[in-house]
Parts: sequence; C-alpha cells; structure tokens
Amino acid sequence: MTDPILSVENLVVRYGEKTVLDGVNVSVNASEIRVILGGSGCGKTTLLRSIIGLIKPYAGCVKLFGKKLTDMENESDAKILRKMGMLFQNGALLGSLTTAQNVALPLQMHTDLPPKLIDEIVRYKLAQVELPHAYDLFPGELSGGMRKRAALARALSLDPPLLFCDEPSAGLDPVTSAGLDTLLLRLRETLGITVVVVTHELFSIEKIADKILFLHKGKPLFDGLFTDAHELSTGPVADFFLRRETAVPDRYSTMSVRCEV
Amino acid sequence: MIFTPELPTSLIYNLLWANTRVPLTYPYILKIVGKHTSETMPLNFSNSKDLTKKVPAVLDRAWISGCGLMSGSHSGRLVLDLSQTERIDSAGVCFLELLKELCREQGGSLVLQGVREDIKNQLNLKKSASAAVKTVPFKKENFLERVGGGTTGALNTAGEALSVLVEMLYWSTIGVFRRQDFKKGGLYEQMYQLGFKAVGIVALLSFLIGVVLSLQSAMQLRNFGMGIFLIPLIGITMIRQMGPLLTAIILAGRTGSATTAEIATMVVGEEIDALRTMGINPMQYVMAPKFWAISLTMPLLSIIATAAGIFGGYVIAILYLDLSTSLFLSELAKVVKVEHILAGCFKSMVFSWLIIWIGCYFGFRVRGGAEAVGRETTSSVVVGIFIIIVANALFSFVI
Repeated sequence: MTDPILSVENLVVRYGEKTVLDGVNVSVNASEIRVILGGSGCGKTTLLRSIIGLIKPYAGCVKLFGKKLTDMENESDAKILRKMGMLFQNGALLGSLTTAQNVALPLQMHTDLPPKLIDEIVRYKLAQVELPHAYDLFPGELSGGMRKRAALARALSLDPPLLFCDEPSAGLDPVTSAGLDTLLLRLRETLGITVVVVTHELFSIEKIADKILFLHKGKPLFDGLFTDAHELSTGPVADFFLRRETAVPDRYSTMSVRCEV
Repeated sequence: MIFTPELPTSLIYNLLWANTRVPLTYPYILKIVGKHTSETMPLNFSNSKDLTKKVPAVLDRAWISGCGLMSGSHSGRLVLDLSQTERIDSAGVCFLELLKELCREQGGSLVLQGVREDIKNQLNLKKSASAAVKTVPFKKENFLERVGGGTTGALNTAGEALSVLVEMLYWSTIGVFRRQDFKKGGLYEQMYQLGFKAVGIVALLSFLIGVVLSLQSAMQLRNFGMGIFLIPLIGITMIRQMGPLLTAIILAGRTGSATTAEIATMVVGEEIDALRTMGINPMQYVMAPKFWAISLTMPLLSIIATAAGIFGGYVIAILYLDLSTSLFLSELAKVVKVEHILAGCFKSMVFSWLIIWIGCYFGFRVRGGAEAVGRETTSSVVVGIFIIIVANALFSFVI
C-alpha cells in the first residue's frame, strides 16, 4: 500500500486556553476526495489551516507527501507548498493584480517558463474554470462566485497533486456550486488530483466525497467511507445527513417561577 | 404624601399601582401618622398582605416601562395575574425572570397566576436559553497584576516590532541569497508610488515652510541690519534639519499610512496567507520592494525638499531683504559643506527605514476587520511621526 499523501497524527490545536482540535488523526491517499465536515465552529477550518501550516499545532504533527512542515520560510517547506494548491473561502486573490496576474503569480515565482507560455497556461486555466472573460479584470470587479473560480484557477496553476478547498460552495448559487463540484471531479479523473474539502453543503458532499472526516466539538467523530457514514441512523453524523436537529436532553427544563394556574 | 393608619392598606396600594408612571423607588418614604408618628419608614410590602397586580392582554415593553415594578421594593409576596394575558414579548419574558430574582433578593416572592400554556412554554424556553449562555466573569485585576500585565504587553509589542524590523532587513538584504520572491517590477512601481508621486507635495510644503521661516527670521534680522545672515540660517536649517524632517513627516503620513492600510487589508483578506500557501515569502514579496523603494527615493526627496525650502528663503531674501542673487548664492556656498548634505541624506535614509518599519509592523499586526485596519493605520501615522521627531532630536546630539 502506498504512503498517504497527507497524514495528521494526534493533532491538538489551542487558541490560548481553549482547545479547538483535540487529538485529530486523518490520512488521505492519492486521488481521493476527502471531505472534512461538521457543524459550525467544530474546528474544520482550523484543521485545514493547521494542515497547510498557517496555524502551529500545540501537539501532534502534519505530514504532507511524507514530510513535516517546519518553517514556511524554508526552501524545503516551500517545495512542499508548491505541490499543493489552496482555495480560500473568500478567494484571497491579490487585490492589486488582475485575475490573469493572480493566476500567473505561482508560475512566475516558481518556474522559469517564458512569459508567453505562462500567459497561455493562464488562459487555459481560466477557460478550465469557465472564466475566460475575466482575464483583465481586477478581483474587485468580480462577483463572489467568479472570485472563487479565479482563485481555483490560481490554486491549479502549478497542477498540484494536492488541492485544499475551504468551503468552496459557500455563498454560491446552486448552479455555480454544482459546476465547481463537477470541476473537482473532472480534475480528479483527468489529473488524478487529491482533494481535501472543508464544507457543510450536503449536496456537495453527496456528489464528491469518497471519504469523510466528521468533526464534533474539535474531535473526530467519524472517519471513513461516505457510504458508511450515510447508513448511520443515530448520532450527530446521522443527524447531519438526515438534516435533523440534534436532540439535546432537558432542553426545556421546568420553570423555576411558581405558576398557579 | 401622608397616609394615616386609618387608610386601608389596599387603598394605599391602589393609589400606588393606579399611577403606574410613579416608580416605587426604594426608599419610597411614607410618613405614617399614628403608631409611627415620629418616625419615617420605608414602604415595606412584608408589613402588608399580598400585592396583586393585573397584567393586561399584552405583556410587552410598553407596559413594563409604565408599571414601575422593576424599581419597586419586593420584600413581600407579589402576585401577577396573567389570566388576561394572551401575548408576551421578549422584554416581558425577561422581565418576569428578573422580577423573580429581585423578589428573591429582597426576601419576597413572585407568584404568577393564570399563566397560559404557550406563555409558560416561552418562559421555559427563555430559562433554557439563558442557561446555555456561558459568560466569563470579569476579573478585576489588582495593582500588581495591572503593572505586570502592562509590562508583559509592552515587552511583547517591542519583541514583535523588533521581529518585523529584523525580518524586513534580513529578507530585503541577506535573505536575497536564500530566496528571491520579489514581485516582478515591484521596485519600480513602489518607487513611483512612494517617491515620484510625493515630489509635488514635498516640494510645495517645503517651499512654504522655507518662506515662513525666512520671513520670520528676516523680520528680526533686518531690525539689526543683519539681513545677510538669513542665508546661512536658512541654508543650514533646511539642509540639516528641516529638509529631512519635513520629508519624513510628510512620508510618514502618506507612505506610512498607505503601507499599513495595504498590508492590513491583505492580512484581513487572507492574501498574506494565500502567498504563504503558494510558497511565496510575504515579507520579501510585500516588504522588500517598499523597503528599497523608500530607501532610494527618500534621500532624493529630502534633497528636493531642501532645495525648495532654500528657494523659499531666496524669494524672501530677494523680495523682502533686497539681497542680490549672486550674493545669496555666494553666501550659501560659503556655509554649506558636503558633510551637511551627507548628514541630511543619512538622516533621511534612517527616517525612511523607520517609516517603512512602523508601516509594516502595524499592517502585519492587524486582527479583525475593517475597523481594525482603520485603527492600525491611525496608530501607524501617530507612532511614525512621534518616532521620527524623537529620532531627529537624538540625531541633533550625534550629527
């Protein structure tokens, strides 16, 4: 069996005294679409930011392509980072650059390709995300969905074998969201790309997920095949997929003021 | 208000309750005539029977504001008759909860009468919702804790600021041998933005300061027939002090604020994080072009400012003191030495590093949203100007 592309071992993340992630273990194999899901505030984005090295863990470790990220300023870490793409929730495009310049940025920084070829790659990537008309536009001139697609084009510009997406469907209309999901599936089929997606959009999860990691209050509650998770009938995971409210006992406790009816 | 003991208690209550605009503030002094003739005592419900209050069909904030129950004394048994009440708003629900607490604290009790089922449910929901809210109690710090906290905070700030300074100097100079994550064309762009675009305002303000300074000096010097001394005065002042200082203050307001706002917006919009995840060093990508642009352009701007200021002095010398151009130039050449010009350039170079360091530090430390960006930008300008004036004062002793 080949080594996983991404492995997280006993990850603990704290913000001050508050433990946000508590003992998270997960491994992602090549060409797998892994969805990290859970309710709001369960630590999904924190896990993703810890994986890509933006948050230093309190304990545990993260290995990307079998190597541990130590210092993002190091050239060795930069080499690992170049093998992955990250789609931020709001796109995080550089406001001072046009869409094309944003997409070209990783190519200019990390390759010695001639400008003409870079320009051609940029056009191809923009066409891939169905944004050919946004070439000369600045991020401020794009809609939310367009910004996200442009950011995806930037994340894919170096053809990374590993792609991270933070809530790709958030704030998008169902049609654009479905288009993004289809694109991710197509990328996996054509390029064999591994995708880690943080989302709580059920339609999206049902369409793309091979495996899921369900987080609940910072702890992994389910880690396995999506089909297995879908068959559960009780517990927070089942509640999530069945779109039902999680039962909280004694929600309506007796009133302390005396009522004489 | 005087009530006699003969006055039935119920009537007292009726009088009080009827005028719902009168709050039952404690102590609501009533002079009791009779047993307590010589005494004044606060109204105390415990001395009386149950107080029953009828609540209207709608228990809402309008009724609560008028009923005066929130400020009354509740040491007795308070009965609220809700049999007529069909609807209760959020203020009403919270009011009942709070009133219960008030009664308990003052030794009384609250009884709700004739509560409808749906209102009961609302009250129960409020209780469970309040229980779910966790608040962190405010801990009042003593003097030592405050001093300790303040010292630690100041040391942390100094540490962070020094770390940004070291990173800026490292990645702009020696770090180039390790990585070259420069924005292509960034240096020229920044030189144009930070330097060239500031030429107009720097020259104009320096000229005006030169005019004002010269005029004030000339008025005094002319009284003693020593107008010619205006030339060394304005020459030395502008070259050594005012030229570099004025440029630095203008650029601290212009470039410092722009740098902080740009970097802070990038931090808030996750652009810095995006650069990191792309394997691009944000310090080198964002700060290095600014560092070199301001280091190269500021001494030039300072020379322009000095020349403009001296030109202001020349205008006054010609128009006010009737000195000739040749005299002005020859006297100026006598006093101005190369070391004065070098001292001015060195000062402006150091000022440029201070401006870009402070601009970047406040930009990178931003946390929060748009409001935080504004706050840090303001701090950047204020601290920038302050540090420049302090540094200039220190320079006056050294060079």
